[in-house]
Amino acid sequence: MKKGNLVLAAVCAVLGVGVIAVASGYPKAADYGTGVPGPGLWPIAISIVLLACTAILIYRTLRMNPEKDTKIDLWTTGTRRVYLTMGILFLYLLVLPFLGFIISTFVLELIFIQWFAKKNPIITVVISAAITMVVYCAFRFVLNVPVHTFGIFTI
Amino acid sequence: MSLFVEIFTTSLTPMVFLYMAIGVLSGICIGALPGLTATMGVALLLPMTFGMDAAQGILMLLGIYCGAIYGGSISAVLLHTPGTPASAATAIDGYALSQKGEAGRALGTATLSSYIGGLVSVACLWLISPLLAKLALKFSSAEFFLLAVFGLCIIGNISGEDVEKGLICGCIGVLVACVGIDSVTSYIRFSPEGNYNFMGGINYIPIMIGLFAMSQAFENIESIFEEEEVQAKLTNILPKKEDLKKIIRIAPLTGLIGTFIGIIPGAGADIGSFVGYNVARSIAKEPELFGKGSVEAISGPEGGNNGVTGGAMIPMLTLGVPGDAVTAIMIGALTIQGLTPGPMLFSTNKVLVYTIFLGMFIANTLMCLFGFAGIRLFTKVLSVPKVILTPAIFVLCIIGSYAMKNSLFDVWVMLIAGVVGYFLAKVKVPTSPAILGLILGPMAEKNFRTALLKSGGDPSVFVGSVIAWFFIFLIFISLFGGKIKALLFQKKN
Repeated sequence: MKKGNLVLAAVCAVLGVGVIAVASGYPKAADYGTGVPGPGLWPIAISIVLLACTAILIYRTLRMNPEKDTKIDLWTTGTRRVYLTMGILFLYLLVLPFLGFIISTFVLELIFIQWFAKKNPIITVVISAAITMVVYCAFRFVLNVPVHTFGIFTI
Repeated sequence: MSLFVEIFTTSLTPMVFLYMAIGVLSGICIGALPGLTATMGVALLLPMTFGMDAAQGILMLLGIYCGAIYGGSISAVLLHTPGTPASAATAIDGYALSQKGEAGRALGTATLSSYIGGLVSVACLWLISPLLAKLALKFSSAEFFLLAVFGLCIIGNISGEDVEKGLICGCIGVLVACVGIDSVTSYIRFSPEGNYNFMGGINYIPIMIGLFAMSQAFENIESIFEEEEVQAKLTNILPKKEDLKKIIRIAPLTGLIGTFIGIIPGAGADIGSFVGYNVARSIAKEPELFGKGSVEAISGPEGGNNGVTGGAMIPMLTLGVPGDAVTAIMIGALTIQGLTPGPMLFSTNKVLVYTIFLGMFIANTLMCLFGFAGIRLFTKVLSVPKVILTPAIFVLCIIGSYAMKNSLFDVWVMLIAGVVGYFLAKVKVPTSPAILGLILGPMAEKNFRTALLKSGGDPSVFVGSVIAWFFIFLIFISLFGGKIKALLFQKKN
C-alpha cells in the first residue's frame, strides 16, 4: 500500500503543480475590471487543496505502521488478464473508426467469449453475433443512435 | 386535484408504466448479480433514455435504482455475496437464515422491508421536497456557492478511513470539470488549441460509465472463472404474523433514518444499510440473534437502504445537488432532456416533479409485487455466466458513452476513466467523490464568481444572510464535527 500511496501522491503532485503553472498564465481579475476573479483562480485554489491533501497522504504513508502496509498485487494471473483486456479494448477503439461498429464489436466479443468461456467456436460465433446485433439494432433503430456513420461495412 | 388529473392523463401513460416495469425488472436482475451495482446499472442503461421523454426516462432510471438496491439482497441471502454494497449488512443474517433452510423467509423479509423503507422515503420526498424547494428559491448565488462547498466538504465523511484520498479524488473531479470554456468569462481552459472535444468540456456521463461500470467490469475479469451456484430452496416467502410484527416495528424507522442519510450529499445506500443494521440491533427484541439469522437484522438494513432512494432524490430535485452517485447520473439524465434540477423545476415543471414522486411510489410497489411473485425467477439470474455477461457489459459501456454526443472521443474518455478507476480501487481511493467534484465543482465556481460579480467584488456577500451562516455552520460541522466529537469523547473518558 505504501508504494501505491506514494505513486498516487507523485501523480497528484505533478497534476497540482502543472495546473497551477498553466492557470497562472490566465487573465487576472484586473483584466476584466468587474471584481470577478479570473478563470485561473478556481483551478489554482483547487490545486492548492489537492497539493495539501497530497502532502497529508505522503506524511501518513511514511508514518504508516508496517502491519497496516498491505501488499497490492499488481502482477497476478487475474490482473494480467485485466491488463490484456485493457490492451484489447484500446486496440478495439483504435480500429473502431475504420472497421465500423458491427465488425469490430463482433470480433471483440468473439475474442473475449472464446477466451473466457472456452466454448465450441460455433457457439461463440453465435453468441458474439447475437450480442453485437441486439446492441446494434437497439441503439440504431430503437434509440436512433447513429452507430452506422463511421467505418466500412456498416448497414 | 387538477394536478393529479393532469399527471394521469399526460405523464403517467401506459408506456411510462411499461418503462417503469422494465426498469424495476432489470434493476432487480442487475442488483442480484454480484459485481453489478445500482450505479453501474443506471449508468449503463442511461443511454437508453436519450430517445424517451423526460418522465419516461427518469421513471425508468428510478425503477432501476429501486429495483437494484432491493435486488442486491437476493445474492446476499443466497450466496453470502452482496449483489450491491448496499446489501452487505443484509448478507450477515440473510445468509445465516438461508443456511438454516429458511432462504424464502429471509427473502420475503427483505422484500417487504425494502418496500416499507421505500414507501417511507417516498412520503418524505412528498413532504420535504416542496418545502425545501420553496426555501431554495430564496437562495442567491452566495448561498448556492456555500451549499456546493458544503456538498464538497461531505466528501471527507464518505471517504472512510483515508479522508485525504477521498478529497484527492474530489479535487481531481473538480479539476476535470474546469476543462473547456469558462462559463463566466468564456476563456478556454486546459484545452489543446483547436481541439473542439476539449473546448466543449469533458462530459461527466462517460466518466461515470467508466468509473462505475467499466472499472467494475475490469475487477470482475480478475475472478471471471469463479462461478457460484445457488442451492437454497425457496419456501415460505410471504412473512408470517410474528415476522410481520418485527418488520413493521423495524423497517419504517430504519427507512426514515435511511431517508435522512440519503438527503446528505454523497451518503449512499451502503451507509443507510449499515446504520439501519445498527439501529435495528439497538431496538431489537432479540439482539442476541443478530449474526445468527435474525429477521430484525434483515429488516433493518433493507429498510435503511431503500429509504435512501427517496432521500437522495430530495437534494437532487430541490437543490440540484446529488444525494448519491445514482442521483448524480439522474442529474445528467434531466440535463439531457433540457431540464435543470433545482428549485425552479418545481415552478416550471410541476407536473414532471409530481410525476416523479408518484412514479417512485409505483416503482416501489412494482418492486414489491415482482419481488414476491418472481423471486424464484430472479434467483435464476444468478446463473447467468460472468464469462458472457462481462463482454456484453463492455459493449454497453462503449455504445452508452458514444450515444451521449455520438462522439468517439467520449468512448476514449470512458475507457480511460475505467482504467483510472480500476487502479484507484487498487490503492483504496473511493471514486464517488470524483462525481461529486464533477457536478458540484462547476456549481461552486459559477456561483462564487456570480456572487462576486453582483457584489462588485465584495466578499462580505458570503456572510450576508442567515442562510449563508447556516451553510457555514454545516461546512464547519462537516469538516471538524468528527474531530470535536473525538476530543469531547477523549475528555469524558
